[in-house]
Amino acid sequence: MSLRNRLLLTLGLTLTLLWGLAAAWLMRDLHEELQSTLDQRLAQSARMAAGLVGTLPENAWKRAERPRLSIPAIAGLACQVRSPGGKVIARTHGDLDDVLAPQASGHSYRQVDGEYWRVFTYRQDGLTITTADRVNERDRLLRDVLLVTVVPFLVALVGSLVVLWAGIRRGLRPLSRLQRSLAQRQPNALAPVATQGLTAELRPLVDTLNALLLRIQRALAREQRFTNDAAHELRTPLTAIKTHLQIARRREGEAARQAQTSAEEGVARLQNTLEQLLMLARLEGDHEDQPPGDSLSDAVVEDALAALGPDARDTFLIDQPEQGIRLAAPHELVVTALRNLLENARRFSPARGSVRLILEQGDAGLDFMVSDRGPGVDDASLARLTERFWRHGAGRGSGLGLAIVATLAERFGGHLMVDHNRPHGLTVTLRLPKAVPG
Amino acid sequence: MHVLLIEDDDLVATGIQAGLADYDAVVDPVMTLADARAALRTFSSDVVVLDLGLPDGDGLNLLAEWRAAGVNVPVLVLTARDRISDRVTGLQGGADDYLLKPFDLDELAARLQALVRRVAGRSRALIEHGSLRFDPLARRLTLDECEISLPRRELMLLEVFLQAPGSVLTADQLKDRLYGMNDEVESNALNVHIHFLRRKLGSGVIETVRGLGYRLGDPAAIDAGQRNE
Repeated sequence: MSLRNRLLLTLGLTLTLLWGLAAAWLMRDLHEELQSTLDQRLAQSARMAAGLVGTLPENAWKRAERPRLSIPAIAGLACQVRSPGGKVIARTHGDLDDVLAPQASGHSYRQVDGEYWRVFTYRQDGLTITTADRVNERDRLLRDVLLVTVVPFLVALVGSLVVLWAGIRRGLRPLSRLQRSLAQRQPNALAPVATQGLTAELRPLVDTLNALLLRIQRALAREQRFTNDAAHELRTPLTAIKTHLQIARRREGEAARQAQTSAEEGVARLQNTLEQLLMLARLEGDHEDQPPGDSLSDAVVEDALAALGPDARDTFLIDQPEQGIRLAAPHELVVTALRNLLENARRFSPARGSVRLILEQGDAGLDFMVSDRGPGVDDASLARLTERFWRHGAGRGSGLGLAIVATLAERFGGHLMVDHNRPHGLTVTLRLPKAVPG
Repeated sequence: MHVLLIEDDDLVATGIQAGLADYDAVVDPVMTLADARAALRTFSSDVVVLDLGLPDGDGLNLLAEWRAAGVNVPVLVLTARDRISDRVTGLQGGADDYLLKPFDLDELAARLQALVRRVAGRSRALIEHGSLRFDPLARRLTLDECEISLPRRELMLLEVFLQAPGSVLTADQLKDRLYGMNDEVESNALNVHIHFLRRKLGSGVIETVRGLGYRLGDPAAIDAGQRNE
């Protein structure tokens, strides 16, 4: 059920019910009030008649015993006065003796000839006075009063239902507009939803939606760029391989061998890029199925240096004040990360001893600080260093090294920071959390 | 044919250079957009091969820049981006042809020849000039149906003239097309080549336009040369 229909139904029913209850209550009160007022009128009439007859001299009713006193009828009211002897001495209607026959004092109902009467009997100084009025006349009076009361009630009820309907329609118009504009969108459209004319309640919703759309848009653009870059990085070495193989086939001797060597170099580059890409994909893939594992800082440094070739130990200056710090990340991955950092630094700062690795323990974890004395980068490039496939100049890396380290650091709750190394060069810091003891 | 190759991968660049050498093309490779800009300012190339992902920017930006500046050298875009929308963007951005990596060297050569041919206003691959016939791809030159074998530089020089019949070419323009940017050229090399061409194909095959340069001679002059020999 739509929100509008639900609102209309709930509010309409509640309103009708409340108005109905109020009307029923009012009617019951009115009915009781009217009955008691009319009963009072009966009683007062009887007492008034009694007072009047009582002031008459004794012989007045004696005389009247034969020609009965006839009282002019009050509208809707019958009255009869009997002497102590039971004779009727005065009455308003000659034909209502049955109705006005005396009985126990007080109010009562009486049915005569199929008509209901309300009768009041009053006794005073031997006189018996009965007054009566027709019940259906009372009912008619009640109906008239109710009609006068109920009609405005009904008008008010219907009026409020109409106002309710219009109000809900109007109030929900921003929602309908939003619904229409959403329904008209292409399923894969990522343009933001228009926010003008939106109410304060809807704005956060639409703003959140728009923010989400923007994020998706950016993610898609990033994916597209990644695909483009990956295609470029994979197809370029493939091109080199293909061209040089073609040349090797056409040439002879030294030229052919040269082309073959170039093709092999292309294969090595392609393999490197593929492995880095797979590594990145694995790091970004499902995290749950791999045990977190841990590693020791000195073993990591040892293995990373071993992977960088026999003369790596002379190339890098290593400052490792504390040994055997346990890290909350698997050994192979930390080795890969450190190797990437060192390899990167060496590429731009190949002189012996120009790359420094410092291990520094802090509260947050262990920092691997790699500083080179290469050309460094400008501020704009600094921010892009960890982007995938971003390469500084015409370097020969896959452009994935730092991206892999950054992804890896993030995955294990660490952090990768890049900064200028004054006066020139670059300092890259990999911070990894320490393993919780026990 | 002089090819300006803008490609940041050294392996691909050397491959293309070696591959196009078989078609007597002089290839000058540059690795950055900045170098490419400088190269085209000072050098006259027949065709440009442009890679898109370069270290200092996207090749399409350079292309747009050139086209806006009225540079109308034919450009073949070399790219790894294989989506149709990418190709359309490239072609609309001023590229004359599009080749997806990895490619075949023969196809690259054929496409470059086609671009040069179109600039010269020819629709056939074969060039005819009087009784001379030249197939640029096969590098075959015939005179009255007899095949003539010329040294590489001489054939390249003749090709330059055959590709631009009627135009006067300066000595610098001729040297640019014969040698790479970094080749050491001896001062009289061009004259030597022209001399040998005249001796083999007739003195009228290349006319000297005094004070300006050289021009392809009248088709009839070639027959004369043949008879003289």
